Amino acid sequence: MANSNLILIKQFCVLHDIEQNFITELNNYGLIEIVSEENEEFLLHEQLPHIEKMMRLHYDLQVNFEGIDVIANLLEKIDCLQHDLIRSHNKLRLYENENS
Amino acid sequence: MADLNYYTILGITQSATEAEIKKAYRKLARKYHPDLNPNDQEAQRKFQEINEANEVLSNPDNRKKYDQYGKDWKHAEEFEKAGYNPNQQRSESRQSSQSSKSYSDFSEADFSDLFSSMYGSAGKRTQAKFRGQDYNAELQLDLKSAYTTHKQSLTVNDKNIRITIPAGVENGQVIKIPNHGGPGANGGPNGDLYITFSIPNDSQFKREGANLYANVDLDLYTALLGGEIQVPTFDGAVKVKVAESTQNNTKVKLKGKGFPKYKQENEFGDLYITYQIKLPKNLSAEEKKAIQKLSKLKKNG
Repeated sequence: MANSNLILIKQFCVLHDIEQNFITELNNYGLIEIVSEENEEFLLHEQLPHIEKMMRLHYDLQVNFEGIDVIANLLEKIDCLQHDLIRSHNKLRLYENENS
Repeated sequence: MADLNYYTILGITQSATEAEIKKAYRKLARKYHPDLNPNDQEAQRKFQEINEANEVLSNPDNRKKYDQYGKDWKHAEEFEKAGYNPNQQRSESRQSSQSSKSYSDFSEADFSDLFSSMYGSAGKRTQAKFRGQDYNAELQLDLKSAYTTHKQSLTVNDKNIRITIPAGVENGQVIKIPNHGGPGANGGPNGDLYITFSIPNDSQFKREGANLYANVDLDLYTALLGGEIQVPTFDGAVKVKVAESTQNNTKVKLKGKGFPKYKQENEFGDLYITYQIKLPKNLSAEEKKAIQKLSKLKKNG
C-alpha cells in the first residue's frame, strides 16, 4: 500500500468479519468515501471510528442503511448543538459576571 | 449495579418467551446504546444494566439459575453443594436492598460475556474485534494555564497519561485522546478518552472565545487632554495612546492582544478595553478655583 492513510477494504472486511457489500452500501448512501487506486478500493484511516460506529448500529442494533443515514445526520446536528450550547453558556457567563 | 430485577430492567414478565426477551433487549439497546447517546453517563449506565439483564435472561441455563437464586445466580452450584434452599434464597436476594454489582466491579470476563451476548444477536460477526469503551473525564484549568500550550499528567482509571493541552482551549470544550479508553475485546482497538475542560475565570478579563474584555480606569485630565497610559493585557502591560476628549465607556480594540486561538499557532484574538473615566475627589481650594475658571470660560464661549 503506497499510502499509509489508506486501508484496503478487503482486508478491513476480513478483519471485522463483515461482507464487503456493507461498505459498498455505506458508500452508496454517501456515508463514507471510498478511494480507488490501482484497481483496489480503500478506506481513509480517519473514517474508521465512524465506520465502526455504523457497523455497531447495523450489526448490533439491526439498524438498516436508511436508519444509519438518519442517525448520522442527527448525531452531527447534536454535535453542532452541543458546541452552540457551550458557546452560549460561556457567553451567558460573560454577561452574568458583568451584572454581578 | 444496584440489585435490580432483570425482568423489570427489560420491561418483561417472568413468563416472557425467548423472542420477547430478544425483542425487548433490542428495543432498549437501540434507545440507550452509547453510540446514540454521546457523553450521556446515565444512558451508558442503563445500557450496562440492559446488557447484563440480556446476558442472563437470553441464556436458558443462566435464566433458570437466576429464577432460582436471583442476583446470586452465578453461585448456583456452590449454593446447591452447600444445601441452600433455593426458594428461600431467591426471595431474600430479590428483596435485598444492597447493591449487587457496580459498574467498576465488572471483571474482564463480565465484559467479554456482554460483548459475546451482543455478537450472538448479530449472528455473523461471532469473532469480530470490538472497540473498547470510551472514557470521559473532567479537567480543571485556570485561565492562565489555558493561555499557553503545556503538558499535563493525569490519572484515568489508575493509568497515568501525559497530554498536551493546546493554548486557547475553551471552558466546556471536549478533546479526544485516541486509544486511551477501555481495552478492546478480541484484539480490537482501545476506546478513546474524552476530556472536558472546566476553566473558571477569576481574572480581570472577561473571555468570549479568543477575545478578551476589560474595563480600564482613565483619569479626567488624560480623558480631556489625551495622553498615554499603561493597559494590562494577559501577556503583560502595553502602552496605549488616549485621544483628546475621550468619552466615558469608549471602547478601544487592541488587536492581537486577546487569548490565543485554539490550534492556530501565533494567532490571537483581540482585547477590547472600555474606558471608565474617574472624576477627581476631595478637590483642593486651588483645584476648585481652576475648575471654576474653566467653567466660566466654557460658559462665556
